[in-house]
Amino acid sequence: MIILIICTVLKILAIVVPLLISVAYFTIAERKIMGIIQRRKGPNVIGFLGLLQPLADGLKLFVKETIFPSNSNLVIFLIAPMLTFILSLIGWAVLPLSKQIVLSDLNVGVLYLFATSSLSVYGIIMAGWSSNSKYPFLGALRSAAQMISYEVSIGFIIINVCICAGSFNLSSIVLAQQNVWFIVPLLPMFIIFCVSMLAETNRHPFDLPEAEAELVSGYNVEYSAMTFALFFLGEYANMLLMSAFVSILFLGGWLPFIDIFPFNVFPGSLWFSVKIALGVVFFIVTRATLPRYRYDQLMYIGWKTFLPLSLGYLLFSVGILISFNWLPT
Amino acid sequence: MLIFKEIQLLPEIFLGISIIYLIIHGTFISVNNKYLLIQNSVLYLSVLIISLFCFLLINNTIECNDFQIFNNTIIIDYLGSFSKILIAIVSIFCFLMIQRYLTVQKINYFEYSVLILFALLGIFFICSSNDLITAYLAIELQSLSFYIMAALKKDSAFSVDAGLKYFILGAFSSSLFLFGSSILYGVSGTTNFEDLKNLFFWVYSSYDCTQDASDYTFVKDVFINGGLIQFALSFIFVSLLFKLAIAPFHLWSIDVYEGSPSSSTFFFAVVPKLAIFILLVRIFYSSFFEYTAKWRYYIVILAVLTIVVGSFAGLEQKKLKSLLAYSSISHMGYTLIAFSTGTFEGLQMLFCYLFLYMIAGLCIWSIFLMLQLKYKYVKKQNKDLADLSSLSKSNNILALFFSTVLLSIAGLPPMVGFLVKIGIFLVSIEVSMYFVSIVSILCSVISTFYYIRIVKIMFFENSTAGKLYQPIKSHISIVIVCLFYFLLFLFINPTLIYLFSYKITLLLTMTMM
Amino acid sequence: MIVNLFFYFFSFVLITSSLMTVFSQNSIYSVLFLVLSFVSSSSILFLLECEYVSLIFIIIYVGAIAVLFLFVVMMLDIKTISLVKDSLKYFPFGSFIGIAFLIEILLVVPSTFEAINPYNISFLCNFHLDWFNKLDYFTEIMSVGHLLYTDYLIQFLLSGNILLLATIGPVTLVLIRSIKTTKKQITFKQLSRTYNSVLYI
Repeated sequence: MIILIICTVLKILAIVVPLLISVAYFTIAERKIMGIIQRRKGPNVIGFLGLLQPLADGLKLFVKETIFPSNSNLVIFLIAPMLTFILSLIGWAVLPLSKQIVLSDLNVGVLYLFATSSLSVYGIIMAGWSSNSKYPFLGALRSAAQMISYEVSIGFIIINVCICAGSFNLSSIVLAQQNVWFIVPLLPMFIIFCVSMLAETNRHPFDLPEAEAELVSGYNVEYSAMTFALFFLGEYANMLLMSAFVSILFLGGWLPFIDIFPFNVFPGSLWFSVKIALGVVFFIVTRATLPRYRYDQLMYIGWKTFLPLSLGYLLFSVGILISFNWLPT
Repeated sequence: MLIFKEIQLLPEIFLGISIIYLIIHGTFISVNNKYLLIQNSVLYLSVLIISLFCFLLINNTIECNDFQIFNNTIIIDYLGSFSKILIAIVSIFCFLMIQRYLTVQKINYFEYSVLILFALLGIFFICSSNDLITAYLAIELQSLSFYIMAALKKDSAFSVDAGLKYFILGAFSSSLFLFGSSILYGVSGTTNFEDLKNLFFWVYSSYDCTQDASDYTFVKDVFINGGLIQFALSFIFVSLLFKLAIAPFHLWSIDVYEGSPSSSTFFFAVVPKLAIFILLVRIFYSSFFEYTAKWRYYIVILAVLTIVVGSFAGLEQKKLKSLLAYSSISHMGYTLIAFSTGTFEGLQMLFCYLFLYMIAGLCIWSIFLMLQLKYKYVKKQNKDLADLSSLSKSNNILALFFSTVLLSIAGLPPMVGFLVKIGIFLVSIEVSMYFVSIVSILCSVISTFYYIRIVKIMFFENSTAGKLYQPIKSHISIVIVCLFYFLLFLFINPTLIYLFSYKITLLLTMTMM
Repeated sequence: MIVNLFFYFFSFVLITSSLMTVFSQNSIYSVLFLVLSFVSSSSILFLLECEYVSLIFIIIYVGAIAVLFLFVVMMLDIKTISLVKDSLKYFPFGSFIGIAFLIEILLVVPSTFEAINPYNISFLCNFHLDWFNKLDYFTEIMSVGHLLYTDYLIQFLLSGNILLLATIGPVTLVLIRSIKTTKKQITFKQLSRTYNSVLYI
């Protein structure tokens, strides 16, 4: 009994600690890659090639004074960043890192991830409302509306993948891609999912509600040091989670490229990390290159373009599966 | 005769598919052509859809046997088929009546007809449901489209208010239904009416066989006292009474009937009552019959309260729509008396009264919809009683018809309303409910006052200036005339109504034995 | 034992948060307590091994319906009224009805479910193991799928129709159909302007 608890705690730590370190290094990667794209070097003062920069950032956020606005609703004000951070972390419990390495092999793992992203809307709404100030409120409403709009098309794409794979279990979805990764038959869905992923995490080019130049940085205006750090960490951990999710759904998870000699040598978790890194680079490169969408254009795309497309493609792929009797039972 | 049993549901499937097609058709035409007013054409299309539905249904009609399809959740029997045909024919008339009203009131949404079709789909599923889940889903479909129909006149605050009240109370009563059915499922393990009938129909007669089973307290308690089942049944019963606007659950119906556009009120008052009563009969006459015997007196108290409320509260109404709303409440009270008797003749009189209520209601509300003021307030829809003054001078025949149908509703001879009302009192006397009969006859007399007051206002008012009304188009007046003569004819020869109701009751009770 | 503890904890949270939904004065607090009660009831369903229904609760109730509530409540200007002085007026009658219902439920429910389980009588509870369940069993999603699309097909289609009506209805009630449309840009034409077609004065 006690052994079970200790084992589970160790497993959780084995996931969370590398995750937090990678979130920290995600920030430095973002700044350096954006710098290279803009033909300058990123931060390179602290540590060799700037690699100790995240420690300096973390220390700064830690020792800064946390300001609580006097008119704010203190309980909800403090719960909001905690909720965002917790939800980004608990999504990692169902992701398979390699063959039979998963913290909790839920049979409804995909639905669990979907429920987690549905709940993260609440963190933003609570943050915006409890700040008791106009700009965070508006930013929170816009951001929440954007998130729930793009969740709908994400839902249809997930259904599409799960029908092709035959199960909601994430390990089964990875194992179903042994012959061919799902990006090959479902390429339009992959593209739509990548774009919806950008909108879901409030990331550029869909970051109108939270960009610094618009709406005075949106819903986290009133948050100062440690609370802002929690939001920040939560957002980047969410991005990593989404990259991991897209690599499990479409890019074959921990499966190597082809299952023959040179690629077989490396463990599955290495392949998984490479694919997550690809997702990270995708996030950063789109931030550096694309202009921002206006809010009504954003909502137009979400409801009138992505939703019919994903629904139509779902009908198309289900039609093919049923007529050729290729349904995985 | 049949390819496979499920083909019996083809009319509803046709209706569902044609609704979807009508939505697509309407949306594409109206959006692409700058919101063209296609309301009339969509209305005629929906009349066509319902008449095709009628045709398919008459093709499917079975005479004596009944069978259950789709895993016993839908039952096809004579009661269901007949009531569906009747409701479909009545709704064709409804559609034709409301066309001119919608044009005058400038309700320009073609979705109005689509909403009525959705409500009809729900009603048809209520009529043939054999399962608590199917009944709940069908009630929800019908109620949801009624909520939207009540709120559709956006420039009138009364209409929005009516829609909101209807929505909140309708959702509340649906949740009561769901609570009762979930407890029933928890106790018995099934939601099917047929299975519940096999478990609970002969409850009190099975007392002997469980007397020596003293270890099985569950069986003894459920089958003898049945506390939890009565608890659950009371929730289901109250929820269905909410939908019928029986007192003391009638308070929403006055505001809703008053505030909704009159075409919606036409629908609310006439069409769904038959379906909900059919559901009540299926649950309480065929599944849980013995429990009805146990608390019959409480139903009777509710019925008498309804009749009293309907009669006395209607006395001080000055608007015609509220008056007709209170009269429909009191009619539901009479029907509930017939429902509570538990005998064969009671059930027959229940169906007679309901059929006649639908036909008379159709007549009354068509005349009400056709009365349009000619000058000054062309769009005024909530007629005060004073608006009808000197109708006899401006439109003599219409006043005559209106008063005759009103007297039929009041229960005066020589109209058929007298026959069915006296039938109700006869069946209640037959089961020795004397006090109930006396009270309801007296209240019927009291309610006759406000019907006769309308007649007096129309014919004998001493005012110098009455309001002028638009002339009625000839194709509509043919309908009203036909219905009027039908009501007169049925007094002389009521065999038509008696025959159908007798056949329905016979086939319904035959399967119980 | 642990399962029982979880059940007591989640039931306590559920009852408390639903009471707080009714009694709290601030509307946003009510909605957030409602969200908490949905989440705790979904946790109880998790304990009952219905993980599909539990997650669907969270996705649909919490993720869509309660967000809708929260939006509306946040944007309405609801003053937090103090209900204390009005509630005493309804206290006798309301509490009478409430206590009557409560006593009726408490009397009727335990006596109905007093089944005697022969496998649980003795203190040394010798329960038998259902071996077949461990070899080949249906997960909850599989059993829902087996029933929903075969036995209860018409109910599935009916609920689909209800959802269709629920999408059409609010659009009918709210859409402003005006003939003159607002001006929109066509971004493709804007971005495909070349140097040659630009006019400068």
